[in-house]
Amino acid sequence: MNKMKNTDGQRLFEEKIARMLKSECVPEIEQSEIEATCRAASSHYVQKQKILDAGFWRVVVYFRSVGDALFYIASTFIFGGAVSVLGMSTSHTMDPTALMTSLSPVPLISFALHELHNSDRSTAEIEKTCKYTPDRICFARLWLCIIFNSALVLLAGVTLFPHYGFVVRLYLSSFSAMFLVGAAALFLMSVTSSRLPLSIMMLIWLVGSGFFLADDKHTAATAAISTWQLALILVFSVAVFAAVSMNAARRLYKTERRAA
Amino acid sequence: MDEKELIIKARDGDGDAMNSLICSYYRLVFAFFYKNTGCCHQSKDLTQEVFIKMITNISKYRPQKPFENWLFAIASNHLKNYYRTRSRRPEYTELTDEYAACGDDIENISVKTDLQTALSHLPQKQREAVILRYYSDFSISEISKITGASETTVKARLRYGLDKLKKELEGYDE
Repeated sequence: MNKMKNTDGQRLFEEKIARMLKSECVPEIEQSEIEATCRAASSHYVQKQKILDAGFWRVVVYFRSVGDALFYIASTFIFGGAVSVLGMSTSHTMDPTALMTSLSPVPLISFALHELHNSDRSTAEIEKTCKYTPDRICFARLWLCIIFNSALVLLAGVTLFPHYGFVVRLYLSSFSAMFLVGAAALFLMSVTSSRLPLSIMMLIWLVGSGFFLADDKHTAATAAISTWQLALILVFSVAVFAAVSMNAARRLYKTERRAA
Repeated sequence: MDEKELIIKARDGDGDAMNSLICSYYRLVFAFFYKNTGCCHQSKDLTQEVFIKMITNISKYRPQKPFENWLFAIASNHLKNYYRTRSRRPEYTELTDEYAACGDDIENISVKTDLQTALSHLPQKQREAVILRYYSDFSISEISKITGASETTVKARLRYGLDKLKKELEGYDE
């Protein structure tokens, strides 16, 4: 009986509290204040970004500065020149596969360095006012650079080593190096905006491959790797590159923007 | 246009849909903060911040859950962060002015201030549970999802909160 009384008393008290809370006045909010919140919130909204967005790729391709064009031309000449000079002068002593493998990622790393050099604070601020985020534009440019780099490797292989019987091996190892280094560059770009780690990576790659090429034992060991093993290495490097790219894409192609 | 359509449009980048959602829920969220903090200006700031969070996180909203619960979960987390950064209990300095602004007479002001004072003496989590249950009319299971506490914990917070309010409001008759 007492328990029932307590329960009833509790229920009545709960009802009383609810009535008191609801009868209390809450300050009236003017419509203009709600509209101000709408305006403030809308500046934090970024339209859902799709990978296959023609407008975005138009921005990436057309809004290239003169400096960017010069960079691509210079990369082509430097890469082509280095491959042809080294290929012709050392064709009898150096394995072309090892040579192409060591040089193939160079345009990609130098592009990444160039991109970091150009993405200064003011540029980023200007790009922030654009519909697309600066990171996303940079990511797309890296993809363009990979296509450009692949075209360079293909062209160099076809033009400089036309009689090279193992051109498939040459492409397999060159693309493996390019994708692995591309993945490392993308990863470094996503974790730091400093050029130092990328510069160190480029230095290590060039010096390391120089030492590698200088030693006949190493080039002989490279030549001993079978084609199917090289194909496996390429599959692995493409998988690593895809994983790093997807991770970056997940971060960049989402709807929300972190509030400043 | 019903709420589900509005949310889908807002997720697809429709600014008008987003504004409609803000307009629909602004007063509810503001009242939740106002009842908890007792400070009008602070509540306006907190409400604005919650809607910014709502916009930036709307892609994470799953339509299977009620939108209001999801929004109040953001508000509840934001309130926790607010108390954490303030690191002291909220003050009820503005109340008399605010009630006067609402046009209430002096007698009512004193009664309402009693309730607000009693509420302000509750620990933050108990106060939040009481407001969500008896002002915003959420069920215990909904409060559990909003606050991230178990249903047993919510029930305990409500029980302790009500007991304290009872003691504070002893002698008061409506």
